[in-house]
Amino acid sequence: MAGGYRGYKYFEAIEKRAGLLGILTAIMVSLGGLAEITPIFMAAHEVKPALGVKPYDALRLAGKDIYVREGCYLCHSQMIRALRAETERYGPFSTAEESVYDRPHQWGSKRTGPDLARVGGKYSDEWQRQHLRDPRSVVPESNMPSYPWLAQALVDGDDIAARMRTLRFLGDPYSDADIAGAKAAVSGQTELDAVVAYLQGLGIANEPTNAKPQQAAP
Amino acid sequence: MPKTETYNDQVVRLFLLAAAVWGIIGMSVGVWIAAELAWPFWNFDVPFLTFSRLRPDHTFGVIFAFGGSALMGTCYYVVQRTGHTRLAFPRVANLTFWGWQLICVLAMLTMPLGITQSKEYAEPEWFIDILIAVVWVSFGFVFFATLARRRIRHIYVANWYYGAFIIAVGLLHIVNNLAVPVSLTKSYPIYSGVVDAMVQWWYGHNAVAFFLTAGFLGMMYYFVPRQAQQPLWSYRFSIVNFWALISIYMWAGSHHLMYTALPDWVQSVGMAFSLILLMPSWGSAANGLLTFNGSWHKLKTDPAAKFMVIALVFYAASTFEGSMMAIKTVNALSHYTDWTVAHVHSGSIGWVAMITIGSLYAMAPRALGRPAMHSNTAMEWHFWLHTTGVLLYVLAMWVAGVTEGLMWRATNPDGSLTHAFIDSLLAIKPLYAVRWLGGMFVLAGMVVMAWNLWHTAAHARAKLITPIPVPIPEPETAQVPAPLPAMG
Amino acid sequence: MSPFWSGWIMFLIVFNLGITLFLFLWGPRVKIPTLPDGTTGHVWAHGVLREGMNRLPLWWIVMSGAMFVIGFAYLYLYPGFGSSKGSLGWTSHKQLAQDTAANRAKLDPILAGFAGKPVDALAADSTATRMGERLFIDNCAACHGREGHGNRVIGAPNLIDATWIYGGDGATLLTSILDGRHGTMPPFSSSLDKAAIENLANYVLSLSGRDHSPAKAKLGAENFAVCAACHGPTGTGNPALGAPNLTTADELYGRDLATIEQTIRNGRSGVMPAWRTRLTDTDARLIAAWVYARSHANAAH
Repeated sequence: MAGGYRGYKYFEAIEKRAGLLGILTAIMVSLGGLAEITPIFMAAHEVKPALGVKPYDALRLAGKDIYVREGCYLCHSQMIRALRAETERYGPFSTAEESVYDRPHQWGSKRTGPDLARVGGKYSDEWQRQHLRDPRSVVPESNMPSYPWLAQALVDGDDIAARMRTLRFLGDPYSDADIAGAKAAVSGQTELDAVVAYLQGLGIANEPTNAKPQQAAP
Repeated sequence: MPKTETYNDQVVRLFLLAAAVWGIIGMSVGVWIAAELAWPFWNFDVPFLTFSRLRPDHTFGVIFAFGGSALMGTCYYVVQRTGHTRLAFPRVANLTFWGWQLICVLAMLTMPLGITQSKEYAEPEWFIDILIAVVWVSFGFVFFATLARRRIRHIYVANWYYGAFIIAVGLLHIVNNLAVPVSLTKSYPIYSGVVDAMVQWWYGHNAVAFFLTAGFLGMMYYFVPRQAQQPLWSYRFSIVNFWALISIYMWAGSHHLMYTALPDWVQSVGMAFSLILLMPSWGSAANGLLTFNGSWHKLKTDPAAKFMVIALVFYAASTFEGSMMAIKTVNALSHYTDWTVAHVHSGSIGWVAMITIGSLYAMAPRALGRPAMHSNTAMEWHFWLHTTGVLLYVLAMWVAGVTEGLMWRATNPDGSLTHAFIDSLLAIKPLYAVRWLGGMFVLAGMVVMAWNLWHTAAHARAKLITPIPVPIPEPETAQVPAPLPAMG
Repeated sequence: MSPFWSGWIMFLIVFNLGITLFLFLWGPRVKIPTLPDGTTGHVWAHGVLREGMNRLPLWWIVMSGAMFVIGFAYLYLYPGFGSSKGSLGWTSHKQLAQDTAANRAKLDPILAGFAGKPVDALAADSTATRMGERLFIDNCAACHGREGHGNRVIGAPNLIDATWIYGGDGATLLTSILDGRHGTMPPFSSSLDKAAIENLANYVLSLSGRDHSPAKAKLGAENFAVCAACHGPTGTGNPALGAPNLTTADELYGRDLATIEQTIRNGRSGVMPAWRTRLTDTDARLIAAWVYARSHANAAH
């Protein structure tokens, strides 16, 4: 009789040993990550950012971190997918090189508002300011929240320099001069100024120079 | 010796209470931000009331605070009953309770203040992440130590899932949150760009897989056979489903990044595994539902069983939907739209919340030393409020999502795009109001449940509850399973 | 992808799917000790929990088998199995190129018909104006409003009335879109005191016949000389400089006293971005055509 249950006996053995069950579970749940993450992680160290993609300057870095802090990614993607309707509406599809300095990435998962990957330069600075302060004053149909407090807070220069040092530790190529000049670069600037500088650089400052704008529409 | 040993239900009761409180808080935040999407003035220009600041409070509140408390509480309850043993290291178990509550309070307070990593579903900053890791390891320690001192050699399937839930969530949490702090309130992840996206969705999808699926399947495997008073449908099904589910799920995260800058090969692998994932997903749903064979009449009288059955139906529906949405061509339409939101909520308020509520209704009287819940009528009310709410919510978001997807890609016969982006928002705005209403129904049901739990606990509050000795008297004689139906 | 990583991925895929396939094939037929009552004999929770040994449902076996077949076929046909390119040679970028080409085949002949055509001619073509409207709403409506009514908050001009700052003819519209505009008015708070600014603002109001204090306007008239450099001696504006006509009822930032005082005090800097890098020449023509058609239709009323 016992011989007939040979295959099952291995499973029975696992199910009677908590430690073995735990170890095998740990192995099984590791496979997917090992296969999908490690090759990409290793490749990321080999691939250099495309020409023209630079780390964020002090003011844009401050703006990016405010964008991250406010949670803008919850309604706006920064990822133009390789689909015709998207490239026609938003411009050339986004490439991996464009977000090498985004920690964390801002690709997003939901478009309650439009994609912002190439919004830089699309509207005037004044429009961006007004739109952040009171979106419905310029787009009456919008359901975006107002962010009036951005105009009232100043960017902290020492903090930005510290952030740049941490990013350099992580491998972003900031020079000593970049870090030394950070405080002066953001001096007197409001958070609103910083976010607008960041938005106005999206898809422009970090755009690979070989990516020519395609026919945008219709 | 066994006569003096009792089940430690004190920590279970604490988690039960916490789950009820966090459930109401998390869902209230959800209802609030749903109102903001329909009527944006609801942020009152206050930073911490603004949608983008508050949305992590909703997701953290319902997933980790409500779901986490329910999972840890039921896990401690189940591992004791299925091992006929008292919880190991009660002080560490208490520490996991207070530690987890501290984490939830800290996270819920810091995120709206802008202290956030902004990694979706992993928003709390590094110092909270370290606390989470510590509490999680302690939780695993208590669980496996209790398992080690079990009196029944064969480990019940519910514990396989609880174990996988603990191990995988620990792994996901640590890998995804590796970061270098700048200050107490700011850190940068060690990953950037495409790597960060891959790690994030490996984490994000498997937070769904292991927090919202494996953990709740553990709950299901204990409470469904118990409530149905039937043997589990099929042991062989359990083995196949478990090992397939825990391994295949881990590959599926890349289906969140279809047609993005992630390399094509990872997207394809994610899609292929997502399809094969349907096998253990529907296998698990079937194993739960078929356990009710011979006990379907209970649905007329037992609201807890009703919650469980509908939960399993939603589990089957949303896992099928998930596999379909992982197909590249479907994903091209559904991604970035409210269809994703519909899918998540059919999984979370359909499957997760309903299996939790059903299990709480099954567990609470016993943990509180009462023969039954205070009010059966209130449970009925809760069931119908919740079901109505889920259906309103999910239907509204389905319609909204498909509308958005179709409008974004609609092309005139001459090849030009038909709609401007803003037109899609105008088209779905009324549906945002319907979604809010659905959320209100679900929340109202939770309030009814809290009222019911409060009255069920009156007795327990009045005097110290007699601890339940091991190995008697669970269950009552009435709970002994009925004979198995004839084999088919 | 290096051979090592390709092999690594292949191994893990084969390993994981191999185990899963084994479970799928083995699960339905494995022999497990079973009691006469059809349970495994494992009992937990004092008899509450027992396990049945039912056969796996046929529908589940068929469905799962189908998923395996589709999954394997997909990895055979498409890139995914390590460095395998898939038998179809598909990539997302190729698909995009094909989709775009197919759509272009429809669109390009139509656009070719519009290319280089004068804006006023396009304004009479309903296909052109329909395309132009969608482009306008996606790109221009943020400032000028869906209907082109403009927005005083940011000084975006009304595009559907008869008044133009730079000019409403087709060629000028096209230039405004492609190259953008930057209308600058310097601040006068350092050269004029509060009273002088109030007087001057009253004079400006008098030019368009709005409510004003004639006495103050009279005092303000003498300071208008400095304004006349751009707005002309009679305030009729100068399209070459983008200096608005002050004698019409049309509003850019608003024509109440406070707004005009603010304009004089702080100056203005109105930016219309250049769209040359974002829109093709033909796209810009289509937008201009829609604006032209709207403004002329309104002017006719």
